[in-house]
Amino acid sequence: MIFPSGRLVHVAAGFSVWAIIFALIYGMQGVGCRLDWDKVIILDTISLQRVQLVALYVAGLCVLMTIYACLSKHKGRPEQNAPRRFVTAVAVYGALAAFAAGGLSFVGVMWLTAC
Amino acid sequence: MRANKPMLSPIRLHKDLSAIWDTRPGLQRLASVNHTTLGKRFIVTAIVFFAIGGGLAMLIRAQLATSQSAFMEAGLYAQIFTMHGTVMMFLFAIPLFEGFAIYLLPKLVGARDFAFPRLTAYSYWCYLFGGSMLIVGMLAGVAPDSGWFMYTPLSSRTYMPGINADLWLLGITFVEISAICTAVEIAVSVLKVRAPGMSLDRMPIFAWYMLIVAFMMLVGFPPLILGSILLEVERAFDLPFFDPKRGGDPLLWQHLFWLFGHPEVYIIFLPAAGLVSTFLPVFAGRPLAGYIAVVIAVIAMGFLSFGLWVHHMYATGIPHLGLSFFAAASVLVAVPTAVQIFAWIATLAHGTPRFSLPMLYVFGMFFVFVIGGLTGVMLAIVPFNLQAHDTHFVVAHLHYVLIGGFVLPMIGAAYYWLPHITGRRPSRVMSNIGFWTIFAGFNVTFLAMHLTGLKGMPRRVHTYLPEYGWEALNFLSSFGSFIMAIGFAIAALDLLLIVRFAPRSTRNPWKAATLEWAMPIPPPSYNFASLPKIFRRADTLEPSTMAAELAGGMGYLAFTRNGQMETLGVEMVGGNTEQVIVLPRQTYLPLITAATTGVFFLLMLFKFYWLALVAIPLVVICFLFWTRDTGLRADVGPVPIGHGIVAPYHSESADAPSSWAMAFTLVADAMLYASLLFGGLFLWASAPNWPPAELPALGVVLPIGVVAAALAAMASGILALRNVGGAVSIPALALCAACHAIALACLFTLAVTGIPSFTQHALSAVIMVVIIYLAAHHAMGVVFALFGVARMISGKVSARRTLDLRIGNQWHLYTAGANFIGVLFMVGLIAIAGTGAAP
Amino acid sequence: MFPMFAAAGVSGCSGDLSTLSPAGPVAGSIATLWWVMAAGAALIFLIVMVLFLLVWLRPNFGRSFSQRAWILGGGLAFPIPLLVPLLVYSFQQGEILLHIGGPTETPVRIEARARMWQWEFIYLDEDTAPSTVGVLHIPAGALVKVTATSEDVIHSFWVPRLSGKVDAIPGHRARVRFLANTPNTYRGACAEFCGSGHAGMLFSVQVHKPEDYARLIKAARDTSLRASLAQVHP
Ligand code: HEM
Ligand SMILES: [Cu+2]
Ligand SMILES: [Cu+2]
Repeated sequence: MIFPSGRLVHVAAGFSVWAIIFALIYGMQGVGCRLDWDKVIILDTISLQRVQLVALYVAGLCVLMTIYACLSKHKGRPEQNAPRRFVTAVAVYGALAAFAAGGLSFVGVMWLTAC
Repeated sequence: MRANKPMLSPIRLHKDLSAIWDTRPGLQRLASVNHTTLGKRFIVTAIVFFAIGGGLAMLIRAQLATSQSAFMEAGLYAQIFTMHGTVMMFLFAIPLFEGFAIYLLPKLVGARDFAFPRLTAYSYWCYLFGGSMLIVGMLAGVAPDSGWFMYTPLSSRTYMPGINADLWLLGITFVEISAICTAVEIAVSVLKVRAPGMSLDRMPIFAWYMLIVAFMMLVGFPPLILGSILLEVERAFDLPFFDPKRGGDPLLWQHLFWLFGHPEVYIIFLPAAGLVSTFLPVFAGRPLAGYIAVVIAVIAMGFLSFGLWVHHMYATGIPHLGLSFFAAASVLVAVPTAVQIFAWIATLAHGTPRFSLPMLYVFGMFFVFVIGGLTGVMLAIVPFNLQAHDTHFVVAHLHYVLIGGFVLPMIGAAYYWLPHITGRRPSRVMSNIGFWTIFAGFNVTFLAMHLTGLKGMPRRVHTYLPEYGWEALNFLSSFGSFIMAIGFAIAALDLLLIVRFAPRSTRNPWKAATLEWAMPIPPPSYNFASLPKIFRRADTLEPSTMAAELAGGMGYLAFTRNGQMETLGVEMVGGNTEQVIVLPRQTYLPLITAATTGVFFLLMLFKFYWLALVAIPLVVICFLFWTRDTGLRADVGPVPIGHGIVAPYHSESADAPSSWAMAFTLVADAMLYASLLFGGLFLWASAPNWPPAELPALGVVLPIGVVAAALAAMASGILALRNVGGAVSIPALALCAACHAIALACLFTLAVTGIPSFTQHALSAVIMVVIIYLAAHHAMGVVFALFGVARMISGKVSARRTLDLRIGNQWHLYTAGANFIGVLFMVGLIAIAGTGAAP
Repeated sequence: MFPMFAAAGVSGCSGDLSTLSPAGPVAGSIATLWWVMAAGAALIFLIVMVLFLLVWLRPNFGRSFSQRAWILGGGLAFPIPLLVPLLVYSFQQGEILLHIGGPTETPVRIEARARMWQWEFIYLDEDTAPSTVGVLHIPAGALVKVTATSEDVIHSFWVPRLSGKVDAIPGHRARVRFLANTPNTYRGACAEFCGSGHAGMLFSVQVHKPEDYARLIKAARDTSLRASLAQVHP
């Protein structure tokens, strides 16, 4: 992924993605329950509901990590002036915080009662 | 600094600027658009509402002081606590911080006013009228009485047939319009209207807070506006969004309400925190520690606060996994809050703190807010919440947060900026007594109340039996609350005395290092006689020397031109000068427009629905009048701003504030739309009695027709812009209007032919609302297109002055996108309506 | 501040509706959770206030730590190790309470049907589905599963001494499981505001010895549809 450097919207990039993942996981949890995916056993005791949510969780974390990695490439670029450096720093640490937040917000998908 | 024009004497400059900027005396005050005046109006009005809300609180406490109290009966008590909560949240807290922001922001960032002064005025009138509606209703004995969160079905027509609930829905929506306007105003102004050189990393920290709060408002308020519209439509026209017998769901209201309601708490807390972050460093004698950490923390809080809303709904039977997301986010949000608090501690630790009254309030804030935060974490824990929820434990918690996180710091801020607002010096003794009385009274009242709640007292009960063992605690709370009331009275009296009688203050009495002190106090209507250039972080300046320089005309725009109100616009990130923003002069239009808006709400309230429909175009016409004196009739090119620098007028700039205003308005609009679509999907997933007996049949032709027409409208808008000045431009815009009209016709036909009965099932009702939403956008699309034509004919558009067309195109683009998504949504929802077994 | 709670804990938590005098394992474990959290919160509160007062009133107190150390230490290192375990523990406790009794034990199934402003309890295990108004009868020591629903507005079923609340929402059926240790009478209240009768929407829970409960149910079984147990057993 290519980001132009030091854009203001980047400060919200990490957490925006966090919010989207949040909406997606919460939404898919509701949809899965509505369609009884928790009763579709795929493996041993693992339901389709659990599988799809864990997949979303893992995918979400990967996206957050990618955002962080892409943004941090811009950090410390010499051609940036002070304001752009500042914006980049906010964006990078913000994305890192969003990643950490993502890791904790959705861990429940691993074992909690889904429906 | 040296100006290139012959410099005017400071007195002359002051006179020239005052003649243009001052609010005129007498009745012409109603035409004021000045942010200093309006900020003060917001603050004073909010304080009046605080007094009303506080009076209601005293009535509540009087009722609960003893068991089996005969003071009020249940119905009256319900009105009182509903109004207390509503007044405090919507009519006191939000407007109060808006008032501070409106008063302070332009001064802090070195501007003469906000980007849209008339919008500020409109927002004030909407607030005043909406708030007054509620108060008048209360005095007439028809106050809303279903609690400040108005849960359905209790607030539905079946159980609340009177106008009480309508009063809440309409009055609050009116006030929310004000909040959305202010949010757009703040977001655009912070980003675009600053002093030259004030890049984002130099911006005063309060501007960062308010920028983020403004976005939170743009995203957080639309769900409630949508919810209110849906509930009002259900009450008025029987569309069953919340009626489980017809495929609706009371939980939909709860989701929409709390999707607004939780961020709301942070929307209230963050501005107060921002003010503390502004004045605490002054008393620490050094700039705020961890500027960047605070910015990141506030962004994090801004987002996380949108992931908490279901923690108000733990007991509704949502699966444990669903709850866990919200529990986690609720716990996580404590982390950026801690960062924020320790940034303050770090600032004090590395400074040389001095004692002062505002700092005493900061102490109060620490004490009270930290307890509120800790009980907040407890409430986020699902099992504990199931016990404490809906008891007086929650009442205690929320007051610890709101009073600790908002009221106390705001009083501190009031003392801090009082010399600025009034030019007078605060006294000491009485202010201290006031603080300690409030502080003691507050803790006596609400600390005990935690225990009352744990001992099982539900909230919103007007009476209880002596054998429950709540009486002593309640009496203590009531006793404390009267002490607290006395404390507030002392503080209010103290402030009043200062305003009237205190000796004049010196300039910059606190030795602050921010820009708002680089002007005479009380401030002149134009703030800065000339605009500063910023070379450093804006909390490390020397306002006293700057004040003299700026008053002497050594900055930019140290002159008047054509009797225009001018201020500078900058490039967002770097803060380089970009444009000269010409602001509109004093006018009654905001008042008239707000009054017209009020007529719409009153007509709705008294159930004159057809007349109300007529009022909507009237409001649009009012707004069209606003555009009469904007824009230039000829290309002017860059004009001098002093120091040999030139910049174009904003109507010739490629990045004018108004197109950002449109973009941010569309963000709020999109959020409203997203909430609606979410609502539809939610009903499918959660509501009983799905699918309906008869499904809507949209067919193929009409949906495709709508989308095609919307795309054509967008394309012709773009064509008009590309060829501006050429011969195709006006016809292209006419075509754009026609395409919108065609889309409108298609949607109308769709509604009439495709939908069985929209009162029969929530599915039809939702689709109906989507269609109305899109139709409204096409109708406005016609207005925008024709407006573009009018502007071209009147010569206000040229190849260089395309602002009006660009704004119109933003609308056409959004409408086309919304249409596409809307059609997909409708078709999709009907297709899945019958799948799966309803829960 | 918190010593007050502690004192109260010793003296008088025995109100009929007090969450702090639990009479069953569900309410019990939540009460314990409360006391642990209250103690932790008191400690955190003290630490923050002491730090604030020291840096405010004792110049030079905090200079030995860099600003960065203050912010990262106080903002991240201090709260995160406390919050994460609390959260994970609460998830686990939530699961346990949700499935209390495990998959093997069959609960006594009750429907709590709310309407303005009274509670009707329907004994779903009996063929005739007898019901009582205002009084819920359950056997001691047995797992009980209450399904709450409403005929009009939202109410909330709450017996503080036995368990947390569950909302009675029209069109929904939310569940709660709990046990009562010993025969006794407990009070319940409606916790969600439901109009002018909200404060009076009380009920009681009579916990019987299992054999008494069996007898009661047998008597009810003989009466016709939806006979009120309250009449049999005032
Ligand atoms: C001036 C001192 C205040 C006192 C003595 C007070 C007292 C109370 C009491 C006793 C209740 C519970 C009513 C009940 O559940 O029966 C309550 C509710 C509430 N209060 Fe206050 N309050 C005060 C200030 C505030 C402030 C400053 C705010 C907000 C900024 C606020 C917001 C609320 C809200 C939102 C509710 C919930 C209303 C509802 O249940 O619908 N209060 N207040
Ligand atoms: Cu009830
Ligand atoms: Cu109730």
